[in-house]
Order: sequence, then C-alpha cells, then structure tokens
Amino acid sequence: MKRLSVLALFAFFAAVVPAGDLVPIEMGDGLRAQKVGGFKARSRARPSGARSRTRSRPSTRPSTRPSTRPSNRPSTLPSTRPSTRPSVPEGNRPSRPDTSRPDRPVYGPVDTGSQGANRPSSRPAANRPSTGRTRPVARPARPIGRPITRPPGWRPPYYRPPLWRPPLYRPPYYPPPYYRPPHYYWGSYYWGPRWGWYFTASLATSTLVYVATLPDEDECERAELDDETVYICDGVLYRATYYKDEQVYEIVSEPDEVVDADGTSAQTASS
Amino acid sequence: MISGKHTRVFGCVLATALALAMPASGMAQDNQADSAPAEEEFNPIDPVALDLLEGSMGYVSSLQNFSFDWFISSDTVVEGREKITYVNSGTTIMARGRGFTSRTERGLTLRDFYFDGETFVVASPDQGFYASAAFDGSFEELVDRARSDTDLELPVWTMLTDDLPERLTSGVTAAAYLETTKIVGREVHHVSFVGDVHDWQVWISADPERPVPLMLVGTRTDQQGWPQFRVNMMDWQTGLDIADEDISFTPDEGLMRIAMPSFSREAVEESSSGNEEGAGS
Repeated sequence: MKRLSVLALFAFFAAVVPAGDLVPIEMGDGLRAQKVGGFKARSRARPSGARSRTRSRPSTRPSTRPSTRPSNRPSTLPSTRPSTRPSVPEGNRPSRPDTSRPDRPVYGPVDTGSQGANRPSSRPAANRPSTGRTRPVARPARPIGRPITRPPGWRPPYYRPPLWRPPLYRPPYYPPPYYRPPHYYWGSYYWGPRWGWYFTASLATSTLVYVATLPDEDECERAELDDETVYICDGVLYRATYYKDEQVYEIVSEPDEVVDADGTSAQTASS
Repeated sequence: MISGKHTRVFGCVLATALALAMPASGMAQDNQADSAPAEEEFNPIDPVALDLLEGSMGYVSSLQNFSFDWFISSDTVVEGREKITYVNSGTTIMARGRGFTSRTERGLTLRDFYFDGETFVVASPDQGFYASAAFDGSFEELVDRARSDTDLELPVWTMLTDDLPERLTSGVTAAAYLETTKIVGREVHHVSFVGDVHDWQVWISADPERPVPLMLVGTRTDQQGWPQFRVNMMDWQTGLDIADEDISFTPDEGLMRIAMPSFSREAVEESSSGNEEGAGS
C-alpha cells in the first residue's frame, strides 16, 4: 500500500512539474557532490537571472567609433530627401568616407534592405590579402604621433650595459671559510691565510696538516733537519713526508709562526 | 543500506569461509612443523669448499721462504655510481719470521717495501725518495701500524700472515663448491664464500701437493656499488734461499729521505728514550 502511494506521488510530480523546474534538483546534486567528496564539481545548471543569457562573443570592434565616422550607417538605398528642403552645397559637407568601396571592412550587421545581402556569398570580391581566417582581424593600435626614429646604437642617457661596473669597482667582500671541492684521493680541503689550501690526516696519534705540492718550489729553500728534508717557503716550514703511498709535505710551523730562511730561529707573526 | 536478511546471509557466508579456512591454516602449521627438521639439516656451508680453503691457506701459511707475482685490480665507486678500476702489480718475497720485500708498480711509479725485522722502508726509485722507520714487531703488527699511521695498505698482505686460514674462514656464513675449471692450463677448484660485509671467490690449484691459490675475487657488499677487487697470483716459488740483503734496503746516492709521519716520531722517541736509558745504565 505504501509503495503504491509513493509511485502515485512520483507519477504526479512527473506529470505536473515542468522540465524547467527540475533544474534546482540538478543544482542540489551538485552541492551534494561538493560536500561528499570535497571535490568542487561545477554545477551543470545555469544560474538564473541575467547571467543565464547567452554570452555574447567578445567584440573586436571598438566601443566608440572614430569621430570621423558618421554616426549613421550609410544606407545602400538611395536617400529620398524631402523636396522642400534646400539642397546643401557640396563644399560644406563633411568629408564622408566612401562606404561603397568593396575593400572596406564592414563590422556588424549592415541593413542592406534585403536579407542575406551581406553574406559572404553575396559580397563583392575583396582585394584584401587572404589571412586564412573567416573572422575580421583586429587591427593593431597605431602609435600616436609620428614614429620615433633613432640612429643605430642609440642609447638613452646614463645607459649602462648589463654587468657594467665602474672603473674602480671592487667585488664585495666574501668572508671565509672559502670552499674547494674535495679531492678524490686526499679528501676535504681547508684554507688558511698563510698556508693556502691544505688537507688533514687523522692518524693514530695526531691530526697532521698536509699539502700535496709546495707553493712554489723555486722560492723554497731546502734544508736537512735530523736527516730529513724540510723546505722553508715564505716563512712556513714544510717537511717532506709519506702519506697514503705518496710523497706529500707536512706543514710543521704554526699558523702564526714565521720561520727564518736559515731555519734556526722563528718568531710569531703576531708578536 | 543492508537489510536484516542481507546481514544474515553475509554472516552465513563469513562463517562458512572461516570454517573452511581454519583447517587449511592448521594444515599449513603442520607442514611447517614437518619441514622444520629438513631446514635444520641444511648446512649453508659446504664442507668440501671449506676443506679446500683451509687446506690451501694452511699450505701457504706453512711456507717459510717463498715468492709469487701478483696482479691486482680494485674498484672504487665515485659519487655513488661510477665504478673506477685501478690496477697495480708486483712481486713479493717472503721470509717468514724474518721479513719481506715487495716491489710494486702503481700507475707510472714504483714502490718498494722492505722489512727486515728491524726497519720498515718505503722507497720510490723513480721518484727519488725513501722513508724509513724503526719497527721491531711482527708482520701482522706492521700491517696494522702502517694502516693507522700512514693510511697504507701493504699489497697482498693477507697472503703473508701466519693466521691466514683463520682470517679467511672467520665470518663465513655460506660456502659452496662451484666447479673444477682451468686457469692458464692449470686445473683449479672454484669455491665461493659469503660473509657479513664481503663475499669472495677463490680458485685453488687442484694439485694436491701444492694447493696454492691462483685467483681471488672479493666483493664488498657493505659499500655503495659493491666494489670488487681481483687478485691474480702467479709463479709461486717455494723453498727459496733468501739472504738478508734481499729483504733489507740500502739507499742509493741521490735518494732523498723523507719523514714517515707519527710512525717515525714514536719510533724516534722510543729509540731516544731507549738510548737515554742505555746511556744512563
């Protein structure tokens, strides 16, 4: 019994309610979809009111016509002036463009008096270059005034090319520590103001400071110390040693220590 | 919406499924219990492979004076993906209990290592330098000392140790005898071993009188890219008469002596303290 009453109610609504009134039901489905899954489904129902009007295509035509163009569209029909009106001399008339030229674009519908007279099939053949497009092309905006002509290579005053620097320019100060990519064999590099780039070795008893080559062997003085070879280069004492199956130079002097050329006396740079 | 009737039907299906599944799971447990003794019987270490390795390494460690040539290629994985292989070769003369000499070629340079039981010397005849340090420990202690103080790995040092069988067989989790093959006309046994951090394969001569290893390939499984090293050992000579001059170093004129890092410092300190004590006594 209850099922029969439900079916009867559904048949009543199907018969009475017009199809246009079912649109809010679709909107309700859309809202349900938004709530359930979090997905904001766009409602297929068109909103009511003014927005329900069909959207007009964007017009390439300017909103205001040029002032030189007469407000009234030229009529292709011959105008019939009243016979009582005096004729206006031709010289006082404003120069009106010749609208009868076939190469002038015609924007918008033109009342030609007969339906279908402005259709492409009935238009006269135009001498415009073929753009491959059926719709009229918007004209680019013309610059106002005369075009500015500059000589080649002209630059505005105080123009500077990219990456230009003044003659006495110095690069900004970059504070240490500096970075050098690690060596594949010696490992990480470190930098000291007097030692330059060096690397270290953490051995069993201590951490030693090494360089693979002397700063400039021509300016280094070679000496013998306890039957071992040492070098003094710009006040820094190096000792030739063996590490990782290679000959390297261990920095013996302290960072602020200056070793004399004879290797017998030393003084600190700070003192 | 599921009605009450549907709920009853679903419950019946679920109960039937559980009733059918429970005996199957019980059977699976019975099968596992039956197969457990079979897994216990499986030994991942093939005793034949292990016997071959222990026999060969025991033979090498029993040699007193011997020499062999070797060629090593070892991999280095650069930036986690590119594998670079370096090679070096040389000749090693071992006088067990007295010292050793290794003359090697690495790149375009030569390196000679001498140890006569008192002094350890590294010399480069082509680059014109040598470094020496006093050392009076065993060969195994010298290997550890060189590694810790100069970051140097003595070439093929493993083959020269006294406890070679224990070093190679310790940490083995699996072993297998693969095949009998030939290397340069010599019949060899190919056996492989698996360890925790590295695997290795050994090709052992099939000559029962001289079961020397002829090739060894190791794989580091704990490093990116699984780098390998390959050692080829050739021209084994045993029963040599090695004189003291063969394992000691006498510098030529023109060779520059360079320092051996902390290695020599402690040796110098120890020697100086020993001299002071000797002088005091």
